[in-house]
Amino acid sequence: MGRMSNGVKCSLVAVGLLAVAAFAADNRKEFRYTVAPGASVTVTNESGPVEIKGSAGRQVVIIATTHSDKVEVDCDQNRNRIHATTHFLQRTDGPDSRVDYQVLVPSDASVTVRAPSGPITAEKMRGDLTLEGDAAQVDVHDVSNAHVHVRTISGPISLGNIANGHVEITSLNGDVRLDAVSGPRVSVNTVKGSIRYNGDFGEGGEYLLVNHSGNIDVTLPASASVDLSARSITGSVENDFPLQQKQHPAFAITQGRSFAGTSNSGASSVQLRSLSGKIRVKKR
Amino acid sequence: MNCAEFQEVLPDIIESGGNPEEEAHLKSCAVCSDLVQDLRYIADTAKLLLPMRDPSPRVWTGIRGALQREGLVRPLAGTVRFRPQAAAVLSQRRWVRGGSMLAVAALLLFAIGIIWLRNNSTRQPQPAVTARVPAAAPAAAADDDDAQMLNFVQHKSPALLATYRENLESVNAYIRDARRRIEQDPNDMGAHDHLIRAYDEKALLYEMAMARSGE
Amino acid sequence: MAQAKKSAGPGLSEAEAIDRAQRGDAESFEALYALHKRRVYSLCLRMTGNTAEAEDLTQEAFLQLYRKIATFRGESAFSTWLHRLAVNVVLMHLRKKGLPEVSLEESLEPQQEDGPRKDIGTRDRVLAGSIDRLNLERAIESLPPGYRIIFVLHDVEGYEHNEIAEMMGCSIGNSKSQLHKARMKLRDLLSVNRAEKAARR
Ligand SMILES: [Zn+2]
Repeated sequence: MGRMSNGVKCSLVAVGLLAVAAFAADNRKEFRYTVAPGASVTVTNESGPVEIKGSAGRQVVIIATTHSDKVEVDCDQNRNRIHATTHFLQRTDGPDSRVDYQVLVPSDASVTVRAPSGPITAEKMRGDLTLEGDAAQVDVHDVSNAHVHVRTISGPISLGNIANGHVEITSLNGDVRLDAVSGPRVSVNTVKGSIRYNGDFGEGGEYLLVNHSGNIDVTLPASASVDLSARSITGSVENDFPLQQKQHPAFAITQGRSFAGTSNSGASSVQLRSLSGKIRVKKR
Repeated sequence: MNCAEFQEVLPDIIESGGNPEEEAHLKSCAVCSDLVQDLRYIADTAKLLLPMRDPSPRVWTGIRGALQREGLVRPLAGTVRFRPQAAAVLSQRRWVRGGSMLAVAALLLFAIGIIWLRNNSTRQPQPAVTARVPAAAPAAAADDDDAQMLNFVQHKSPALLATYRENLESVNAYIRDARRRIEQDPNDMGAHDHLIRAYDEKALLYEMAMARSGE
Repeated sequence: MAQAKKSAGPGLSEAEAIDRAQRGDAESFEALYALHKRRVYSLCLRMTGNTAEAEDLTQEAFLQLYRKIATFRGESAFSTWLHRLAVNVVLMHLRKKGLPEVSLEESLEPQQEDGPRKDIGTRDRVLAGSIDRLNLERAIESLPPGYRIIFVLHDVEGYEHNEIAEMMGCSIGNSKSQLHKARMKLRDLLSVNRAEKAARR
């Protein structure tokens, strides 16, 4: 410390002061509610991140941090429904409008988030999730036995470790990435976004990955039990996963544009559909 | 007859048309004819409002739970088996496919939210009072809608206008490509599926725009 | 799995789904829900203006549907039947809350807010060609509940005054005059909206 130059000392003090100033402008509020099983929690945040975490117990804890006095946070409980909403006290955008939400919920609660700019994250849940954002990046992981509905305009979407899920993803331009996602129903629709699926497609379910022009990349282990078909109407398909030819595929197979077949007992139905994109299926 | 008298009877005659005296006032009075035109325009626009939002999945979860508790569904081998929703939606699409072209058209229009058929079937007879009925074809209505949607976004969140415009263009390109393919091969069911999905994507864009309550 | 696929067969029509649902087939209930949920939910949402209520009412409407589906004999189209049932569920709920009756009493809306008199003599044709659906949606949301219900039923959903009168338990004349007031109110809301926009430019 003694050898430190005066210049460095000064800037350290300055940084300290800045931190205090920034801290003073931040206003952290905490709301706590007790709910019964099957509660529903809705968060609407025009600007800024929303983080959802499932936990044991019957408490909903909402921690909201505002960064200016131009916005405020409203939370209320109506029986078993909790609503948290950002309100603008004056018209503003940019950093002033931002609110950060951290929300702890019982893992069986159903949660709806609307956060146009995001990012939105949700983890450790067993209740239904409906997540929406225009440009929001959406990240969902460690979820089981739940509906997961995600909709974005341009935000990228990533799901990991979803078991027994009813997954429905719709995005216009967001890239979609699924790692170890399985369940009775998994459907992904995008326009220009790419779709990557890495996993084994579970043990009996319907998987439907559809886009207009992005790439669809699927990587699966040899142990996967699938009844798989792929078709790109004006684009191309590539396959290096061993499939047994089907006697009666659902559509006429065109070399380079489509293929279909089964592996193992063909438990899960997997349909890959692109209008003009490239579809690639690989063995892991 | 003066304006006050005319407007007194207006609630009764706006649907059905008035007697000759009332019609005469309407023809001669700009204030009343503008009023009638506005009210009629509101009613006409209302016909075009769309059922746009799907309920949250928790609604079905609730229904399913209640069905099971009430024993309204037949148990199969001890447990009730619900098919995954994807299959339900797929089969829903299949039966549309199996139906007439009219049904397909209805679904497509529904997807962008124009309940066009309804206007032409169950509506009250055209009234004798001056009517301003939008005569646009669905396609033109769609262009019009696009412009209105972008206007709305511009008003509510100007920063997002570019994103919405770009995505609107790409989803319209999706629709065009699917249409072109169907023209080439009307039996290509895969292309029909893409078209329906493209309209779903477009509906999403509209919904997102609507959800921007802004302020 | 193979069996599930067969039962989903390509030819399943709505009529078949209804038929199977009448016999308690779980999957058909879900197929019918998937087919009609959007329209029913939208109706509930427009009539109540509240997401949580709309969700509860959608659930209740479908439950009633499933409880009664065995009695559906196909005299009317299924969607018409379901829709009517949903309207009744919503009205019943609103009646419990005491909303539509009060708003149906003509006297409760302040007089000067109603009626055409202020237009008399002033030419203010403002709307034609200028409102869009999005603004109309917002304006409907801000209507007083009684007006909103009549407007949604008649102008959005296409019910006739005699049907509305029957459902609401009011006279046809009352339905007509409420609809008229609702449209007038919307015209006001939309003109204000437009004037504000113009002023901002
Ligand atoms: Zn006049």
